[in-house]
Amino acid sequence: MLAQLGNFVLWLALATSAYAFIAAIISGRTKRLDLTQSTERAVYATFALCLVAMGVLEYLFLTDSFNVHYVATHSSRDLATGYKFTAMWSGMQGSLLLWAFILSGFNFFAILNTRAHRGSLASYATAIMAFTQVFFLGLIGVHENPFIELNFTPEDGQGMNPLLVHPAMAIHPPMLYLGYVGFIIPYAFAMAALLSKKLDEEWIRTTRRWTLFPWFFLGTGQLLGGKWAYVVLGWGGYWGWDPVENAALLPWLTGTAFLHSVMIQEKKGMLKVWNMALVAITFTLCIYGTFLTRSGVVSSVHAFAQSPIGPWFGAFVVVIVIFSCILLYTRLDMLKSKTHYESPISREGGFLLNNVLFLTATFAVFWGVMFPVISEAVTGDKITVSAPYFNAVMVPIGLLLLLLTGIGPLLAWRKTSSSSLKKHFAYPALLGLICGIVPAALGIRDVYALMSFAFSGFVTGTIFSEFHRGALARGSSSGESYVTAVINLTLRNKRRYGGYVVHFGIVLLFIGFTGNAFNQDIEAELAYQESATIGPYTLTYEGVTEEVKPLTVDLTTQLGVYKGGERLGTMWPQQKVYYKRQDQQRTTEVSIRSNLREDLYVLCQGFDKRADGQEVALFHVYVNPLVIWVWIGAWVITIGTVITMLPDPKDKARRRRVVGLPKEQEVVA
Amino acid sequence: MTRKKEKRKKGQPISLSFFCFLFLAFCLLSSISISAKEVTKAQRDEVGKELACLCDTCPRRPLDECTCGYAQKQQARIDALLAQGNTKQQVIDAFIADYGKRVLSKPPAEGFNLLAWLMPPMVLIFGFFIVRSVLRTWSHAKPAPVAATAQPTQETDPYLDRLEQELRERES
Repeated sequence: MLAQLGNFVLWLALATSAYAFIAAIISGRTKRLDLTQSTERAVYATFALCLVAMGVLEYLFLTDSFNVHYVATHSSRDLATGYKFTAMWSGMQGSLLLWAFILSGFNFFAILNTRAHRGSLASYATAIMAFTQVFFLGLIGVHENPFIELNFTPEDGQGMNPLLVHPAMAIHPPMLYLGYVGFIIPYAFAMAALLSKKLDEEWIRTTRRWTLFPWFFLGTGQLLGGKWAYVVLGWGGYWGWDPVENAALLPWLTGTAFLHSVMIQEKKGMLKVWNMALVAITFTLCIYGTFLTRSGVVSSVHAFAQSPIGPWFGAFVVVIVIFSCILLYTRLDMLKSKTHYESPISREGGFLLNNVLFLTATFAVFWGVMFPVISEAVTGDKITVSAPYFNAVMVPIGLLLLLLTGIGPLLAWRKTSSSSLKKHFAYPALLGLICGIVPAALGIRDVYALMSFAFSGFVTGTIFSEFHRGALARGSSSGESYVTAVINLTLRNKRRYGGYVVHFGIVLLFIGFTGNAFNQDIEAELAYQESATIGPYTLTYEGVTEEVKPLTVDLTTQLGVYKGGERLGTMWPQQKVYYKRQDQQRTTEVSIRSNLREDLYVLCQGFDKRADGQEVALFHVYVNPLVIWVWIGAWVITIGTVITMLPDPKDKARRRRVVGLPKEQEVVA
Repeated sequence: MTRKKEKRKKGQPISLSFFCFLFLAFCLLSSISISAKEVTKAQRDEVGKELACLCDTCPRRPLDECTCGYAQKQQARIDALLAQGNTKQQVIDAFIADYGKRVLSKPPAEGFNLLAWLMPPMVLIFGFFIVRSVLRTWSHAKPAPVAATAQPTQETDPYLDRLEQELRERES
């Protein structure tokens, strides 16, 4: 009964979103107030209906309603309540419903946000979002309906994929979807601006604000995925250049390029066509990523790989590309830029270089993902493009981008004088030099690692000098203490100084990435009280305990950790055997001792017997330097993004000034 | 005497066969010691990083990193081939003979696959040329009056202007 309700609500949401699409187009053309309001109500209704559909599906999971096929194949009675909740998006159907729900939510909040200035821009944006909603809900209804019932009710469900039973995995998909789906808003407003021919400052301001939000969530979602891979998959790393990871990286890269180049448009009124193109490319890559994830075109570690909906997503990508290209081409005249430029050694030049590097990085990742398919089509031979290729191609581009992160903020708009360059670059360059020379003197010979340390030092120097100079200037004029001046400086210029905080987070990420160059690992087969040594650590095997739990048998090994003869502590790497599953799937629970310098990472790979009958445990032990800085960097980026997104009273006033219209004035009653 | 002579006569072939036996034993032992050559993890990883795990669950991770059961079997095969005295390239060739070029962790830089390596730097160079031509176009364009394009953005915030002014005064 409840499943039927869910199904009904799903189709009803499809109907309301289809109505919203048609009504929004007509109201965009006619500017009829009644139709605009009706469109808004349809969007609200779609949001409410998607919420109900989500609620029904969650209820079915929480009540073990195994008569529903999707619940029966993705949950089980023994699953903890929290994971029953998250199991809802652990499969194709549920994750698509979550996608549609988030989309309806974005549409709802976008309408709330633009109600103050209704008009053709907002109407066309609503139409584009509603069309996307129709696409997703139609696909769910026809191909991937999560409410389909079985003819019988199984005793128990098949359970959730054990690899997904992890807190990071519970929030990683929603975060990623907030990112993927969120890029619809900048795209919708950009295309709506072209459709309505309202190419003033308003669309770019709206677009930029709404880009930051999905950009942040897409980045955070990827880092959470990395954290999950690090602690669950047990291969000692957090990023494997899997096609699906790459698919999420692509729109993040172009979104980052847009967040930078949009500043040229805001400041100088230049690069209008390019910014439009970047927004369109970013959203296209979001749908392309979904296509990759769910079509099975490329082989991937992710579970969605085979599905009949792939061609639909492929077709949707084609529609977006054609629609965007035609619209952009027909409005080229209106996007002519006002040009006032003096020197390539300027902020404008820096941003352009930034865009070239980001777009090259995007292309390199795209090319690497698609090359096996292209190569097979041309030569007939299958080939593999995996981590060594991406590392070889992306590390130099990443280092150039890191260097530019330091140079860019020191460049002035229009032209930077050589005296200014010398003055502002001297100390950061000195710091960079020290950060490169010291590790070299300590014996590090990896050129990329040395460059990374040097550039990180340089960028850190430029960021801190920006804060320092600003705080001194503010302190001297207002008499504030240094700390107060730094805080007030940041709060008065959230976008600029929040951006610097984000840059500092990126520096920390790079420091963490650089640690990869010095990873060590050993494999050890240890009997009771035997030891293995890696780097400065000695690990002694102290036995194993067995605990039977509702879903698993936990085999917990105990290792004493020693350094220089002194016991540092104990580590407990685990093997979990899902004994109720037919395949008796085993997962590993790594044990990690983390400090600012390195991670000691131990994985229990299983148990065996020696020829003499002695029982041994098999361990893979890693020492991964600097990994913790990746997670610290992620937090710093979060703080910086929050600062940047904090509401700014000046911005509100400015918007009122720019729009210059009272509510509903533009719409014909 | 006779017996001694006989012994000598008998002894000659015995000592010859003894030396032959020693020689053969030496050869055998040395061949055994070659086949039992210890393979270090570093040697195996040196080969493993060139090869991809072809199980259908890992994202084609290089064999020196992958920890799945399939990868462990392949690592054992690398060990066995190295222990037999094969060079790195011979081990790689043995894997290619069995699985084709898809077993390589990165595209070989030959033929059509060379494009995999050439395209990213070519795009970068192309991008630089585009930027150069855009900047040239901009520098030849008639500058628009600043007042006509100035928008009330954060960058032209009076506070920021004041801050920049303060900075200039401090630094002059």
